Amino acid sequence: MDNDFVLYVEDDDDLRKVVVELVTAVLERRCVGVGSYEELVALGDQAFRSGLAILDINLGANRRSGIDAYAWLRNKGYRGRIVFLTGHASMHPLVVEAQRVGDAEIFSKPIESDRLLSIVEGTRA
Amino acid sequence: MTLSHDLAARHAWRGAVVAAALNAAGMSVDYLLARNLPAMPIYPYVISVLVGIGLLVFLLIRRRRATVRLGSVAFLINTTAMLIALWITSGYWAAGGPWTPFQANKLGALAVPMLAPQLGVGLASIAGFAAMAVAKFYFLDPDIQRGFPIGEPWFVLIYAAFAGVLLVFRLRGLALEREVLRVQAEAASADHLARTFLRLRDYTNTPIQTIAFTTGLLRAKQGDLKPLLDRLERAVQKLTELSDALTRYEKAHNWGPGEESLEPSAALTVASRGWRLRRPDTAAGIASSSPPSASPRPGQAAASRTSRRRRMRAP
Repeated sequence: MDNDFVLYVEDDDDLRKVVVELVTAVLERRCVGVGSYEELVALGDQAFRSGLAILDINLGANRRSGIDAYAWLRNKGYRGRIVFLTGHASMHPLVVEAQRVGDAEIFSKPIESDRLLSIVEGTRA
Repeated sequence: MTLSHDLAARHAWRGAVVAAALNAAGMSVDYLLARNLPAMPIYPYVISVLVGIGLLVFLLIRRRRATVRLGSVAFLINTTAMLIALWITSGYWAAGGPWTPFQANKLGALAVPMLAPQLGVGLASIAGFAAMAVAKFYFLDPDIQRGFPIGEPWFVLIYAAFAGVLLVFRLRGLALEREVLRVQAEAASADHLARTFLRLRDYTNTPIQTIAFTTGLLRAKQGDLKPLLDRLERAVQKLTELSDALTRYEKAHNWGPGEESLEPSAALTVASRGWRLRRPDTAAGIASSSPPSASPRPGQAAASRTSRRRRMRAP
């Protein structure tokens, strides 16, 4: 399996589907969308083959967050680029925690589609 | 009814209750000490004690509906009952032998600053205790007057002056305390407002993002839709600027434990319910006195968008 695909973790179905479609249609690059931490873990080894993981920080109330997803990926040896995309304020506790976790970049929603595409393009294998 | 008014009413009620209790207890003790004086009547004491007890019961019944006016009226009635009793009994005390003049009046004048609900009521009560003593002095037999210690009854005026100063000092302290509490309540409401705006902003960011990406996707697929997509993009741009404008509330709000795990929509429901509950107090005033600016200054939105991209590096 190639490592030229994008992994997108987002609990909002509409947003997840449109990102998958956008990346696929414009960049002709495969994008795999999952809606929760549990779905990400269920991907198993397939997740580690992606070159870029885009994670929403808040994956729903009382659910594992994007930070948990980040920790899981890194702990399992994932070497790709990780980007957080969040709708929360920079002072929000989860965002503050995300700023401390390490080498991930954080982008605040909404960003322009060109911006998303350039992020994905920047990690083309 | 505002928080400040509630506190003032509570202070007035409490002062009147304590004054009535002191009247009932003090006059009872005074009678026990005076009962062996020749011809000392009991009725002034009984009347004063009954007035005190009656006011006490009345104030306890009206506890939930206390007002400053109620406290003030009760306080004045209580003082008047005491002054009448002291006017009658002090003549017997003076005629009964060695006596330190008008101790009860001096004590009463000094108690007023600690209990009076309002400045006017307090000053009137202090003046009543002092004037009664001086007036009574001139109604006493000249032989009794000559037996008074040097400086009496004028010392009561010095007590009254000190009591007046203490009264002003205490009431100013109470007013300051109420103002501090009012400001704290306003700050709490402002924090609540900021939290609501932040929830609103967080909640709208994902749908806005969906529209923005959908627009980009349509533009890529359907080039002939350009005018429509331009219009959509401008609408998204305006919503984004609104989101940026709400960013100013970020630093005003301290996130509490567990708040980060709330669903935005559920939090909005809770916030609006809390808002409705607070409206009878000061929250409505704040909403009208400090409205959030709907749109940022030119260039501010662009600068904010530039700052959106926050890059982090491992230490």
